[in-house]
Amino acid sequence: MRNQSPALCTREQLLQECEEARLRIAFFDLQESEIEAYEAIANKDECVANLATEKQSTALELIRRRTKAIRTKRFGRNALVATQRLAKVVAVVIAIIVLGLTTVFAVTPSFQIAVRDLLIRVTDQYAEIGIKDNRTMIVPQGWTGEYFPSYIPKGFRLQQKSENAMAFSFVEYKDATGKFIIYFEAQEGSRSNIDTEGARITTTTVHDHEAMVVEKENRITVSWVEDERYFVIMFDGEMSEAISIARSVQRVR
Amino acid sequence: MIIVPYTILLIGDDSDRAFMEQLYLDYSRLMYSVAVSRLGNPLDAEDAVHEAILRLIDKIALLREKDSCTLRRYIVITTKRVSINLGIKKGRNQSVSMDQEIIESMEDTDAVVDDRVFANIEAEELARALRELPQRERDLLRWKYYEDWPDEEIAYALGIAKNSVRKYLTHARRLLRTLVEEKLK
Repeated sequence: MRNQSPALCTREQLLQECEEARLRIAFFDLQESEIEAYEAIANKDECVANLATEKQSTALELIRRRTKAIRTKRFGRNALVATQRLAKVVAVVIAIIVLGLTTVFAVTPSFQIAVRDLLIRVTDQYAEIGIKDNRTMIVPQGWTGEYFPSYIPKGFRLQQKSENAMAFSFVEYKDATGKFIIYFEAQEGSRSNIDTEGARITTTTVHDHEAMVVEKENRITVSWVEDERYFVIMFDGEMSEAISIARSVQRVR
Repeated sequence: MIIVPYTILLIGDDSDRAFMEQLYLDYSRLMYSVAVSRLGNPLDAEDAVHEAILRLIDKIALLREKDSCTLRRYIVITTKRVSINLGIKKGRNQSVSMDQEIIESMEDTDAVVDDRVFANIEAEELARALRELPQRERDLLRWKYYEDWPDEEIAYALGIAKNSVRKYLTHARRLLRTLVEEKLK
């Protein structure tokens, strides 16, 4: 009726419209008081406070549990549900604690660091254990994370990275066409969500760890848990390339 | 520390991204409050808030035009709507307070709007009566007359046939009218 000119309405229709308008005003008033109640809950309720703010969350344990669920049920329907749940709840944190904690780089200041590998050589007489520094790789200057991908496809330049040492570190690369790569690593105490609605979800392995691959609208997200941390690669391109980047992640400290 | 979902970080336009970051910082607690109140489960609430953010990102241009009060209402309505749909998907439908059998058996001719008794009632009185309505009826009237939900979505949310929505609305409005009349006595 509201699409019709009042001149073409009957008196009954206009009266009905009037009543509906009255109802709307009443709902408007009702909603205002409801919002005040929600705000009171938001300020008092610990559960809400924990959801909205970053505290000592048990996110890592949640990932572990759910990753285990994926492993044990990966061939069943439950695997998909568990994977989706994992993806939805905890897979990705690209967290900016407060505005301004990231730095945008016009030029990429990077530096080379030595990558140390654990050396274990077992002979008939003894086992030699040591650390060898035999490779170097490029990481952004001031990188606060403990790991970094050794493979970034050609043409991608550093756009921004986390600036301070916190519970997480992330870096974003972009190429000339606007495609991006995001690498993210977090330790216990971080969490966020990833949009999996309508996404295709599969699994792969990264460093012998189960990894979840979410494919949605040409965006690939690979996430896995390793060494008390969880890692996320988001790539605006081919899945095989995203997995290659993920598998190239290695310890840099 | 407030965490900002990656979906906001990925917004290409710097100005839009800054707008959404600020919006998230300002309203995330309210959104979680709405979602937890509606869903009762923190994990589901996280899902709902994330989904709501995705919807809000789609409406950045519209959100930018709104004053803070309207923006707050829009965010609450969006979060609540997403939470309701998520609750339905997860099989946690609202308790049924309507007498489904009676309503379904109503003749179409019964579903005639007869609310003119509201005409002389102040909106505040009507709001008070609405508070006393069972939640399902209140939701139904709210969705139809305040939030402009299409009948298909209302039917889905209530688990009824689309062509029954009108009967349910009539029932809810009669119930409201009874409450108002009682208040007038």
